[in-house]
Amino acid sequence: MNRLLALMRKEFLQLRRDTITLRMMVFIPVMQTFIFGYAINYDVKHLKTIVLDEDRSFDSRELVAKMAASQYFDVVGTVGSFEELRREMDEGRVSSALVIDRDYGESRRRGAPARALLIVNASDTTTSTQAMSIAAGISNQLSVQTLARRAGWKEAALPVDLRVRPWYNPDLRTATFIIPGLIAIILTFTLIPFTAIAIVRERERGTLEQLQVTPVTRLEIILGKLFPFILIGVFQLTLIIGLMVFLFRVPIAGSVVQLYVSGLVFMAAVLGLGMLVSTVARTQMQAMQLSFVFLLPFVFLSGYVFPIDGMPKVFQLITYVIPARYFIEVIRGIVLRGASLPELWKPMAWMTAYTVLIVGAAVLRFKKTND
Amino acid sequence: MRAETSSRAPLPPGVFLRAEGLVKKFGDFVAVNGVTFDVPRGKVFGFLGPNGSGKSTTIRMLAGLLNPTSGTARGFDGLDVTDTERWKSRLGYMSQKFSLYLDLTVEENLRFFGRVYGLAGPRLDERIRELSGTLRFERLKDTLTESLSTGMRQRVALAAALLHEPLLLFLDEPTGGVDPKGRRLFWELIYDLAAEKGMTVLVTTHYMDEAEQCDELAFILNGDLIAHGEPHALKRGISGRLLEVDLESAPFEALAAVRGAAPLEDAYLFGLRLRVLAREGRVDDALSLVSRLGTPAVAEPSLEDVFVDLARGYAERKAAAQPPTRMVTT
Repeated sequence: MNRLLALMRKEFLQLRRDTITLRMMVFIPVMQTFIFGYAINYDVKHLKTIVLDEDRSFDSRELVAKMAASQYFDVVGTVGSFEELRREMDEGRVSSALVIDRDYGESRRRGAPARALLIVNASDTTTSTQAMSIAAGISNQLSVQTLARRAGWKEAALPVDLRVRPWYNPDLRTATFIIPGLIAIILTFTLIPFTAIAIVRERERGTLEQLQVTPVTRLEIILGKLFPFILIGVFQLTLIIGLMVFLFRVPIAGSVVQLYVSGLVFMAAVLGLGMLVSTVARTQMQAMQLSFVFLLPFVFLSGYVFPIDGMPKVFQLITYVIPARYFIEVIRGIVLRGASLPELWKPMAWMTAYTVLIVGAAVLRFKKTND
Repeated sequence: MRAETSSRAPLPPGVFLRAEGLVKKFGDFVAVNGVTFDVPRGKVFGFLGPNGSGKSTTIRMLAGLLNPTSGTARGFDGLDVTDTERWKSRLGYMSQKFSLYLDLTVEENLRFFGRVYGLAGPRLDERIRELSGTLRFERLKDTLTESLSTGMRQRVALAAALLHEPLLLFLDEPTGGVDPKGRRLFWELIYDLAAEKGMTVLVTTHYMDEAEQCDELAFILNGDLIAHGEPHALKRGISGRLLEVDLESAPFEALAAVRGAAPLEDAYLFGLRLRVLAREGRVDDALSLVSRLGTPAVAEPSLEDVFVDLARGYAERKAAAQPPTRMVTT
């Protein structure tokens, strides 16, 4: 026990001298929270739009006004010809263009199909999908009005009324979706490389060998090394939760304690991965680069940015071996839906199983590489 | 007495450590090939051999850093190397890399290693004070280890290895990169420790002048122990006779003239002096050969001569033992 305390004390002394790493421990979570919290935004609004109105009637102006009122389209100007429209689109000055047919108003009055065309820049699929669904909504609304008027209804009551109610994130804010998952990403980004480097550095400098001729056991070496990183992880967890709740106004619907419990399990998995990296890498540089091997799948195949349901089957299968996938499921459950750990037993069980597997493999390999 | 210790005869009182048929294989490569020797109590035991000969591997097995493939080591009056924790807590180890934490101060390093060996409180303070006095680095206690010179780091590393007053000290090429003055100070200290505290020292070195000062020596080559004994005995055991001729000039021509001659085992230059090793039984022929170049005298062989001679004998024995067509192992 005294030996373990001595090891931990040494680790903290070293950490205290390493001011760059210390600053990174704070700076990385804060920077990432800001970038992901503010910059990633799926709710595309204010698409720059130009109008080619060949009709110039009351009805055509009504359509333009409706589009503008949706806030998804900002009408920034009008053009006189299709060539001019194409130029505006090609040169990227606008992202969408509304073309209203010459007899749009006339057709509406007669009850014939009134035609308009919305052109969107679909190179960005998120933007265009959203534009299309908004346009379809406006089109339906106007159609219903016309039909109701023709049928002589005073109030437009729809024969079928299918509504969407966005639970757990009623304002459909991207930050609400992104920030809880960010906890998993930040812990991965900092703890894997830092742990791997800390161990490889000891081996590189020969101090690991010096430790191994002392009566210190390997378990003590591992625990002494990992404990400070668990504290750092808890500190980062607290930092991100603080930013999430107070800056991004994403309240925690479930239990904070359970959030920390699941966080600790995930940290153990990540520290284990860091140790695994350290058993393969010979230099600190290699440790850094190898750590990055884990980072991309953890970001993109964990359901953090892209929904797993939307991935091709093969990639869906890969997500099962990524511990971050389960952790993100658990955090979103606790933070957004107010679920409890017993309710989240399935991802929790998977995550715990992987943690045990990873830590076991890491300890075994650590023993082997130092034999 | 436990059954397992009583089943084997205890080591004789003069023997502090015994390596018994130590073998270490890395895959197909045999790094240490069944090495057996005794390290006498309270003596400085030198372990010599070129790089890659297996001397570091042997010392690492004896220090409990590597598990031997087969064989074992006994020592510390009744301990076995497999009793890792007790074995390690009684030995001190210092390697050529002077493995200290560079980002800690001298005192922080010493406190850390002291605690790891179970020292604490006033005893730890006292040991640090004592050693920093003996090794003369009191004034540097608060200096970051990183900014110390190699020689100073070596002293601090030695202090770290001595904090817990080990009964056996392993020194793996401890003086590499240290200036001559530092080396002398270091060796004086090592001898004091062996003489006054009865500490047993096992040291590996490249430097023949350091080897010369050891109480006993072992030579290792290609994982085989090729000789073992006191320096004087080893020198006496050299095959043939070493002759020396003072040359006036043209040393290389003189060397070329005698090199390869039948009565000579070896010939080499030592400044303006030509040294030849006469073959056993052909000393007279050798004398008449070299007296053409100057007046020969019988010289005392150095350990280097001994080592070269031993290596040659080893190579000849190996060649003789080898079948004419080499077996290819797959």
